[in-house]
Amino acid sequence: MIELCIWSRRQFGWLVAACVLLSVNGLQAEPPQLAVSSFALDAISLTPPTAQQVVTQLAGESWCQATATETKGAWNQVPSGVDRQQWISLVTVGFNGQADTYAFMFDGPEGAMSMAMHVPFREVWLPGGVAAWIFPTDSVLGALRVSYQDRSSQPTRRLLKLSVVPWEDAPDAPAVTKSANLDDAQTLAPELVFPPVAVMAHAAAFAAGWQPTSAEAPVSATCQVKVEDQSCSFRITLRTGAAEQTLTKLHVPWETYHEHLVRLFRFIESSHGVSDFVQVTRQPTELLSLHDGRLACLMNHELAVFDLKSGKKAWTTEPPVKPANYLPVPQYGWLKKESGEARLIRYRPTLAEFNWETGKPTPLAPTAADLRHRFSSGASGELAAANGGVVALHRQGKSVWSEKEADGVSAGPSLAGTDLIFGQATGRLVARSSKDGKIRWQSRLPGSLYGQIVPAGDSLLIFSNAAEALIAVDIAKGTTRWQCDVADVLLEAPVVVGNQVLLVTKGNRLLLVELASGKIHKAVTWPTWLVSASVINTRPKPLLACADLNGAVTLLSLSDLETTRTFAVGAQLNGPVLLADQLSNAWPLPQAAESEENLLAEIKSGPGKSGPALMAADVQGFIYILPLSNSE
Amino acid sequence: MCRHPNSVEGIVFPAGYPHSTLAASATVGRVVPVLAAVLLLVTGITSAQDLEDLDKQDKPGELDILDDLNEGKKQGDLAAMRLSHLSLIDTWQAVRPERPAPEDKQKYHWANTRGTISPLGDQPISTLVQVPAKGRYRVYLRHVLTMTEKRPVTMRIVPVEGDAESTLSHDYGTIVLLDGEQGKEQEAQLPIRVESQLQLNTIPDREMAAWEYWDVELDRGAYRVSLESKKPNVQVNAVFITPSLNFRPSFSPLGKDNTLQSVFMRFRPAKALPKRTQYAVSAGLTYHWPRPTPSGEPSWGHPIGTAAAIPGDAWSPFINATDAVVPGPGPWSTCRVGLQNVREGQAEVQFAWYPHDAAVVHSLKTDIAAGQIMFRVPHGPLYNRAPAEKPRWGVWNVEHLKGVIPEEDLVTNYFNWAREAATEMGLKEDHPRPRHLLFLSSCRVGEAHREQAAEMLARLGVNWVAGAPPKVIERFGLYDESTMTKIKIGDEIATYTPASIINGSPLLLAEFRVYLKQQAELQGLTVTELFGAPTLERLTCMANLPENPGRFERRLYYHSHRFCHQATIAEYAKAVKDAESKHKNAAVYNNYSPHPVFLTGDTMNGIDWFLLCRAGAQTLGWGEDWATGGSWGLGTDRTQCVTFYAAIVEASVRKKGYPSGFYVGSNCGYSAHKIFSCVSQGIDIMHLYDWGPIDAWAEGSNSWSEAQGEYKSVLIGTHALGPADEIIAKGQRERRRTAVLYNRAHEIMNHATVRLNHDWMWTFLALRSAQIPVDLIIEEDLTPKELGKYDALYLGGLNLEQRQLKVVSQWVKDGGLLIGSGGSAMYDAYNNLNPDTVELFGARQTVVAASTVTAEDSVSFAASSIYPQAKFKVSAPSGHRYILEPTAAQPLGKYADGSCAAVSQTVGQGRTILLGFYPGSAYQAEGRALGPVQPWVVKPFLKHLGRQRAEFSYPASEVTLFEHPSGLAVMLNNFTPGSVNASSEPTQLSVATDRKISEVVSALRGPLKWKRVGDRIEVETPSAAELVVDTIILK
Repeated sequence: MIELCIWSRRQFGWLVAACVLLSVNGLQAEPPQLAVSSFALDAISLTPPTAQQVVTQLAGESWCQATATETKGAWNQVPSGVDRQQWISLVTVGFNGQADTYAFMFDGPEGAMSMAMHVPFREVWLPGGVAAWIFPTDSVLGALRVSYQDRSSQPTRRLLKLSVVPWEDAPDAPAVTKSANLDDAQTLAPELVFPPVAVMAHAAAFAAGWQPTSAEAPVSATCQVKVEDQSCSFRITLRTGAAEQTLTKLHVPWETYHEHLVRLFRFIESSHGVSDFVQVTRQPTELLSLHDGRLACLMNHELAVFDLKSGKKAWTTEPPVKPANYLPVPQYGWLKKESGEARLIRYRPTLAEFNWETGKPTPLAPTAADLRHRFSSGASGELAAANGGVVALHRQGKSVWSEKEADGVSAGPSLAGTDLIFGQATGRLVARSSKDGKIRWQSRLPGSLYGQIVPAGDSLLIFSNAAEALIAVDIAKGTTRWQCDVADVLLEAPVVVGNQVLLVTKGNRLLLVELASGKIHKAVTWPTWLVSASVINTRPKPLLACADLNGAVTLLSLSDLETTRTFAVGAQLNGPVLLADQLSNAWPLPQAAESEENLLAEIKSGPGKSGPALMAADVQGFIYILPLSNSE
Repeated sequence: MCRHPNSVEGIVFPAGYPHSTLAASATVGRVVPVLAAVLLLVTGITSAQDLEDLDKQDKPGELDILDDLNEGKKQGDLAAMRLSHLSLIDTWQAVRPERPAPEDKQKYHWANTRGTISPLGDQPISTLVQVPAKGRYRVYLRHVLTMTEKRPVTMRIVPVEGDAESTLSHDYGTIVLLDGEQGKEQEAQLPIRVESQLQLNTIPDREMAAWEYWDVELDRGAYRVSLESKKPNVQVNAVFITPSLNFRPSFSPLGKDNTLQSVFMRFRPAKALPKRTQYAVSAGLTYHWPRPTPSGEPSWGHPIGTAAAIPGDAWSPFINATDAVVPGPGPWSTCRVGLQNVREGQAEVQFAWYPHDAAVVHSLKTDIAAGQIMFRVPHGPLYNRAPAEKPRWGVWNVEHLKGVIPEEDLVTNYFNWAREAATEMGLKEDHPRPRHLLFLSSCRVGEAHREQAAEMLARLGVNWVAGAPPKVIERFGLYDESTMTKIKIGDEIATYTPASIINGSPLLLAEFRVYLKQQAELQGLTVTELFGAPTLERLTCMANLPENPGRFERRLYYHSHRFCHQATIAEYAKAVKDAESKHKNAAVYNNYSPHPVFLTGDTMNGIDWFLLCRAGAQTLGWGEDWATGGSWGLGTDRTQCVTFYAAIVEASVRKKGYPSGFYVGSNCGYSAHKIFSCVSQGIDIMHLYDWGPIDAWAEGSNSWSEAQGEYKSVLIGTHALGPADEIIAKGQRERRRTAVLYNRAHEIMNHATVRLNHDWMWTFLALRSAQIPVDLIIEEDLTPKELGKYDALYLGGLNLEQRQLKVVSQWVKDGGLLIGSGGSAMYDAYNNLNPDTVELFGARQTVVAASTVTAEDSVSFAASSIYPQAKFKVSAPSGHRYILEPTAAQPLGKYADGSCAAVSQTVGQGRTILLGFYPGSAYQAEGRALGPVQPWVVKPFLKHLGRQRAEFSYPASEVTLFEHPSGLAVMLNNFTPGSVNASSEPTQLSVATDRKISEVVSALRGPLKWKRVGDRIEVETPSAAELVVDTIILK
């Protein structure tokens, strides 16, 4: 008997990518013959595999047969004697802490690019705090297989004659500092930067929906690249017949070329409705509120407020230096004051309100409330909070009363009139007097009451997750007036719109319900998941702005839920869409000081028009500007 | 069992090397430091390379032992220090400990403050000293001297018996240190010795501890030595008495200068080697408890040192073992010494407190085998740490040194224990031992004892002795490992691939989307209908549910979690393929630990025990128990939980028909019960984890060699099976007509709502204790074909996929008995209410508000055709239970408030019973197999199934019937609770068979009284008090 331990581990982790491939689309009868060339164009200490090494790895897989093809030609130049339908050009680029491996094929019309697989990767931290580049062979080969086998199901692309050239200053080009400052000092020679950036530009164009080619095409684009210190500036000009559009992006950091170039190539066409974008972090970002020329958002699990005139971060809760055991406060949010102004709130560890100007927190209640719907503020400065089973009313940061409930609060509390209303998972709905906390009434509803309790005239609107229904109760007695079944839970709290209630469910439905009867007046089924649905106070009438899984932002009339306009952002959107009454089409270009680390990328999109605009954010930390002026 | 693979990644460890360290640290992030530790250890433990390297040295390793301080008098009168005595003053009478116990009311005269002892008043403190020979002694007092203040302290040496006038007295501390003079000058002018070379050559601090001496004539005899002082700032801590004037006492923190707190070893062959033959030694310690290190990685061993080019008739140099031994973790560790050029014979080992012949305190002889010796070493400082109850002498506590035990003495114990067990059991040498059922244990003893150890294990019934000499294998007919290459590819693995990994891998993400599409097809739905999105390309694998998940999110999450396990299969499948390509008859396994599911964790959401075998990604099922009589046994009596663990393993291999094995945790006790638990659930290989001896292990808890009781327990377990080996191994286990569902959907979707896998286990054990054969099944088995094999099903868990619920419903209509517990299948797999469940059970379920739950909540049943009259506490986990609202079913039981707690209805030809609570939990809380819930739990099952083929009169036991052309065998496994005095009345076994029976014997006790009554054989079997395990054979 031989007992061997081939490996042993508790965590599967990243090694799992080293799996034997099971069929994704079914094994083909005849495995394709591939000819693989490998190009190392990175500017980092990474050694990508040679063509032969790739072929050796592929030999262990059954989906293709591959041979190594050495070539002295370019990454996009099919070697002589090689069938372009078989040639895979594997290119690895990389700058600083980011590397990208692409696999291209060029068997489209006139040799146009027909595949552009992309696998980004970063340094891996090894035990002992050592960072190392480890080529993600399994991930790349897996992606190659998926991309190769998916080629037939790719959407139709428009041919784009693409040229990537050095930036040529022109009279109308945006001003770029001529002096030798940090932006212009080049830590990498342009000869090292330009070739990999050219590769990325082609791949990005492909990812944005184009089919780049060097041959003539109805649409052409020139991507000008200016190499700077740890960044590049890009200027893309798109020509369709006589029409020409230009989009510029200055000082794009090394590690984000691909992400920016994809968006540049996508939004160069104004039909998407995006006039500008900025990446404020590489983590998911969620917009919270726009108020007084400032944009509050959550990034890196911290509250950050940007001045929209300067584009600079006005303040943030993220400390400049984080202690080793630093943990960000997990939840922030915003409330509307009675005046309509926004209030920035920290939920934990205590409820506190931030000053918009300075970021200084003012404690509201010496209690934690861990979700937005578990506190609310009243007309006279009261704040109701529920924390677990404790319901309390505070005024000016001081406790007025506090009551312990046997079961936790899952809905509300809400301050309505002179009462504080809350609901529980058991279905119990309770009204306590704001004055002294005594129970005024309580009633039993279907279980799992959840979310905000919305006062609507002489009714309260409350949602039951168990019944998947909105319930209206008499605000004075708690008796049920009507129940409206909606067949899923709510994505957003109910919004009273005139004599109707707007409901947005996670079951892809938008509903207008009659406030008086609970009858569904209008229902719209959305084709995919809704990410957010926000009522925006556009003039003359407010609209509903819906962001969805497909990356679309759609405006709908609140009266009949008819679509009025759609913006095709195309990214994985995150959080609500906000309206700015007056916003420049372009994120302002900060005047970067040499002593200041400028992590923002900026864009200049023609002359700085301004007007009402929407703002949306995505999971990669991009914020988008969607001007409304064209339709208003 | 993460702590014990034989080899890892091609690194071959020397025998006895603590492999477990590496295996236990298999997490990616920990590999590097562990390897570093491995390398460190390997350097300290004998290897051929070590010794070859040592050969190249010019001379034996020498030790710097203050030769320079002794001013060239290297030997001088050091031989006289043989008669030395060290007394730590903190052990003296009337000295208050540094941390006195709170209840300590004793009156103390002096007090210990961080190692120095100072007067609390003018009263003396004392100890007893036994001077061994008349002579002139130098009496050192280590105390703090200053340059400014005299701190007098008076020592009196008073004979214990004799003339009080012969009291000797001396005032220490009447001197002050000389300002501006180096230590050397201080020594020249004052009666003191400083402690280090540094102190000798520098000007002392203004306050400094030094050894002040007093030369005095002492007669042989017992003395009381006392100290007294009126100065509260006097600080003393040791007295050292020696005739040697050259020896320099030192407690220096500089290790090389410290002369009194070290441990030295030296070695030599007992018989001188041939002339001109040199030898080398290399010694290291293997710890059996983890030793903390600054890096955070526990250390499992420590090098002691090496010496080479030693003349064959000479002792090795003294090797300083202090750093390895004194701070060693736990009470003791194992020292392994490699001897080059000395393959066999005996070796001598000496222990000394100072590297000098005169300081040798302890010697031993031990056998050399294959150039290795081994002995056990006690840890900690070796000097006296307790007050002297009677006069004593010497530097070390000789009692402590009794913990130095050579390997032959250790293994002799083991052999004696094994013999005593056999004698006690009265078993004959020719008692049949198992041949087909495999009982594996390792035999890690040194080569000199391996044959004897292998024989001992064989006599215990272990028939697969890893490392047994071939002749023992042949003589005892042990398994020769020719039919199977057992390959372990993972230990205590996780099977969950994080969603972030899947989303970051284009291939896995593509596979995930294919999987989602398949799930929609399985349900007859389109992707849009199931997931709410027209295409899958925007959907990614969900790691967690959001707080308020919608239907589509719940669906995506459920299938994401399922896929996160599926995604793991491929890598293991590849490993299996690789292993099979390299090894004929490869049996490839991962070992599953109960820790993350039942002990430290609470679900299979991280590790799915069922997955890989069922997917063909391992070909040998394997689990382990780590079950003790305490909480690690999950509160089950005599580790009955092992039955349940084994059932999980069996369920994992059932689909493919793979063999299965189990690390029977003999190291945790109850070997016999565990063996029976495993065999009764169909496990093929019982690895009795693991016979060391313990000194072969890096971690003591891995070995049962020190557990005397386990020799008998193993002997009982194997010998109770031996006579029935063929029937059990080659025959058929009685068909299981009852199944208990292990509900993964519940764990995925509602593990935070209520934890139920312990209820499933307790229900399983309740049925087993009623002689009902039970299988564990998973949702994958809920197909018409698989479910059709069973007559009764216990369905726990709040979730069940609708398609599976349909199968269950049809199965009930076809005659099945379905018993559901609180919330059973009330939701589909996506946490949507399942109206079909209401119809199936004939009742709605409403969870009881947590605020109204009390520990005293009870449930009562009136006598009915289904349940007996009963009343007991609900004992639901966290009070989670349901009120039932019958829609069609008949109420059966009610809670104390009158609300409905149980219903039943007929459905087609079958019946459903729905309980609003958890019967396993009630069974656990109410006395288990001997409590009042037991008959209540099992009655509906027994009513539905009819009489069992094997019935046993004593309920706290498992009974398992096997049948073979050569006869029938019934395994009896007694799980009487430890608190119960079991009856000495005989028990009764009844076995239904129409076969002709001519003899009924107990495997351990021989022929039994029996008679045939109709179609049953009624047997008088041993009393519960006598029975541990046994097998009753009907021939």
